[in-house]
Amino acid sequence: MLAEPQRQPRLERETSPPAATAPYFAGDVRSFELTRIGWVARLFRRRWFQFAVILPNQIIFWVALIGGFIGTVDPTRSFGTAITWYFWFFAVLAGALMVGRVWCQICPFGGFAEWIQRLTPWGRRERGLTLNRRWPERWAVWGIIPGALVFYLLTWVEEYYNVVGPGKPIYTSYLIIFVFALAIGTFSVFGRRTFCRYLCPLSAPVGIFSTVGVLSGFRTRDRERCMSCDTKECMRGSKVSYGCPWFEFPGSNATNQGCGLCTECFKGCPNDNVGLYLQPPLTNVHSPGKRRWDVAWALVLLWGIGWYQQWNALSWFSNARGTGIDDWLNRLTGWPHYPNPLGYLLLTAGVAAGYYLYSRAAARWAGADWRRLFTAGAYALIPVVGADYLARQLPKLWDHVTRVITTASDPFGWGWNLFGTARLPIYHTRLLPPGGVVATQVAVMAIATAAAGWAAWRIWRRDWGGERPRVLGALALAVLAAGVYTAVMYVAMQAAE
Amino acid sequence: MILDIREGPKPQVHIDQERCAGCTECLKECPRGCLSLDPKGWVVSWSGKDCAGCRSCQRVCPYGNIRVEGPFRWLHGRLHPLARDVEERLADFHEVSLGYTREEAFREAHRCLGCPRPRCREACPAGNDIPGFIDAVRRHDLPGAMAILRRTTNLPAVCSRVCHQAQQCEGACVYAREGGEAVAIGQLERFVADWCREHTCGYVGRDGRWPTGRRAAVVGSGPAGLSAAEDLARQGHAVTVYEALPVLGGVMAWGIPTFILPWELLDHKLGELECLGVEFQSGMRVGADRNLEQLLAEHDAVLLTTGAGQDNLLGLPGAELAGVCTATAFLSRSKDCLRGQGEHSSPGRTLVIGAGNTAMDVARTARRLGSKEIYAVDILPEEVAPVRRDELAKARDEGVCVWFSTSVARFLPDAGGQLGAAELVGTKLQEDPSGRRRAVPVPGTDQILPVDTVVFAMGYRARGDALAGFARIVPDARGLIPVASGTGRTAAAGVWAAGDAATGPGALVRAMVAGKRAARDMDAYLRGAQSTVA
Repeated sequence: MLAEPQRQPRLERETSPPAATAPYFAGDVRSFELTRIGWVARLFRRRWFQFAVILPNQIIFWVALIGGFIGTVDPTRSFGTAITWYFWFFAVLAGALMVGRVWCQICPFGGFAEWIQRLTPWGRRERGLTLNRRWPERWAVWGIIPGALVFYLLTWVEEYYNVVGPGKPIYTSYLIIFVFALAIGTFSVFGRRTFCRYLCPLSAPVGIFSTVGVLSGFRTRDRERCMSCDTKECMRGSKVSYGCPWFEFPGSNATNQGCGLCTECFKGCPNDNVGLYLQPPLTNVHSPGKRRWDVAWALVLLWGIGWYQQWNALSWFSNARGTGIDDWLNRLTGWPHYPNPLGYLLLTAGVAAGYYLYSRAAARWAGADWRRLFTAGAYALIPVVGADYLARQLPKLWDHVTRVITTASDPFGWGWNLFGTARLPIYHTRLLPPGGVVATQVAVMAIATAAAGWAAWRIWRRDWGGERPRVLGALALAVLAAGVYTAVMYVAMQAAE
Repeated sequence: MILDIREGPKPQVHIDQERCAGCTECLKECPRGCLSLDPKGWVVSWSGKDCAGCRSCQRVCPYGNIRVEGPFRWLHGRLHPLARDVEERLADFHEVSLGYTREEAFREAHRCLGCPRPRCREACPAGNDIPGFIDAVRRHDLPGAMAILRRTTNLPAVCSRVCHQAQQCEGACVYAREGGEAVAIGQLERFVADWCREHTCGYVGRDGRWPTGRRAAVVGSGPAGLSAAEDLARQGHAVTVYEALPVLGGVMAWGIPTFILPWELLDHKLGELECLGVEFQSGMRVGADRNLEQLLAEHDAVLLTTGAGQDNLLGLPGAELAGVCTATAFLSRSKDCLRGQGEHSSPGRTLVIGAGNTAMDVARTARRLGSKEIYAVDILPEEVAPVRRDELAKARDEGVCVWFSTSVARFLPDAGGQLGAAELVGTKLQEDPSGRRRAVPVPGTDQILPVDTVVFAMGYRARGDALAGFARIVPDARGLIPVASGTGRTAAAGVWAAGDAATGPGALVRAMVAGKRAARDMDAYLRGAQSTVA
């Protein structure tokens, strides 16, 4: 008589989150405080500091904006197109991934709107030009997802008008005007930097990718002292500083995702108990104070956009012969031309649904709570998705960034030579050959995949206390598959070109 | 009956979890311990079990992330102590308010939520531990409550009757900030002080200090002088109080009527000081009978608390007529006659110029002296007039006719050359070119009011005469003695000044606090300095 086969005992399911998700503060890790350097601290204490770092960007973007209207219609000769799409977007992503939210510190959009909101470029005024409303709670529960959706929408608009392509310079100007208008409108109605926290199209990717970076944001030096402080001038403001425009609190800030590096808390702390720290890379990927579901969903949305932008570079998705998937969808829906919104929606939703189903299945297999696995897995994917965005900018950077130098002397294409660089023989210079470009893309993805794998291991150790090794397997499989797939796609895109 | 706070509809507290930064300000503020910090997410969560719905958390959240819905669950309304009937109280000069009974005080004390960060304490100029002493009342530990009060105040019986609590501690009470009636802090303080006085646990000791052999002089026996004298004596110094008037107590003696501040309270305080060894020399005016140099030669330190007893006057036509007097003269004369020193006839039809607290005291005193028609006029509208609302209500109950936005143009003599009438004129607030709002006469609103007595009750200013013959301290343009903030030190070594003489006319409790601060600094000085007295 055959013995009844023994069934593999099912893993005991999680019933409650473990205590391992405890707060994780800058003081808990080995870190270096930048503000211990005297001149850095003195600089940050100046009220004009942030104005001074925003002003150059402000000038550049106003020149880019105006150039779209009065300058040349040739995008290859337009400073606005060159600076925005061949350098700026790469620099924003690289800055976020390597450092942190440095872009937010120097952002001209939020900066300009904030000057209007405060009615002063760097002073301290009690009253400003804003209704100072609160972002409604029913919207706030969605966290950074509204900002991610604005980014999602703008990406489609950019594809439609081929703004980056490069398209007409005026389209770049329209894009800049849209962001300026959205910022000014939001700053006029809502208090502080509600726009930056909830609505800014760049805030979602920059905030999420900055968790990879080494800048921890402004945090308390002595948490106990911070918690016992009765004035909370970092939050409420003081005579010399505004309350945190980003609605953060240095005393509990355990991730750099929400700190805009505006230095207001550093200026205002009556106890000199706030500092800016350096931390090991990926610290806030594997050990943020708390894992946020909105960050996870926003990351999945960004990932879907990444998939779309890789697919649309392949001929079977869209081609001149009209035989691609997008062309078929256009004929089906009567849409005039690429990109078909239904295809955009279906592909990005498909990525999200695929990741959701993977999380459910992996959680079932590993005996874990699927919500926790979904969120933790999304955090582990941050380096991969961030590197994907960065790698996609590399061809433009290597091939065209020299145009920034030449067009800077002739920003409107009027034949000027302001800095003597307009006629330098670098206009057609490619910094890397095509093979080198794809090699850097693959290298970036390889590094990011390794980093994501290490982050997955740390996440598993922190969130699951090193137990349930299948969770680690599920996380590792996700990041490895994502990294390898993305790298392969870049090779395929190169082949398609 | 004390209601159970768990009865009735419950409040709901909504915390915006997305924006909660975990600063724990709300936790520190919540009097019921209903909020806690979730250590996993570093956000605050709410448990509604004992929530009173007081909105303290909502008010204090730096980012406005907390919203409270539902009622503020009171235990019961504020208990108002019984007051004597108008007819009865007009017949004598006894105190009007009867104060709390023990049961009432116990019930009222239960209204206090015991806020962990008590705003009432922050608003009290003396910094009294208000939740602490009320908690002691709640535990029926009245000597303990008095001990808590004595840490910060020397005159609880006086301050509880005279302070403008609605603008101070009670104004900051969580009930008042929510539009309700504040806990009756003043009445509870009065109950504790009176109970302890009546139950002979009122006299304070020397804090176990041996006599230091240092001598200190206090010039003036008002609230600043008495509190400083007490604190210095408790530290073991030999203190002598010099008072210009025959009666000790300063403004408490001559300026506050006995139906607000009974004699026995002041007498008890003076007796307490005598038990501590404080010597009193009344009828000795420093600057006239003896100068400051002489006092310095006889003492190691001198504190000037000469107050601000000079009445402000208006240079109106007819102000020199017989029948026109000042509040100081009127009130001190009435108190003299209560002590059997001189007589005070009915002032007849009385016009009080001013509608502040002193003016109300004058008007109500005149009513008790037999005046049937009493008018008080103030140049300002009622909503900005500096008068305690409860005192104004009592004055009106007693038949005082108070007219705001009214000024006096001149006084008219009668046929005998005595004061016969006053010409009144309506006023309105109007911005001058500098943007300041000033009361200006309204043409066509003149009226003649027949009066027999006019009393100027328009505030006080410092006299500055104590410094006569003493060149080392130069009073400022307002006659005030320049002092170091917080310590009361003057430019002359060994001389301090405190109270209205240094800061100008102000609340009695602030003078008391200034006296205590000066005494603290004097004590340190006296302990460190060699005695120069032979």
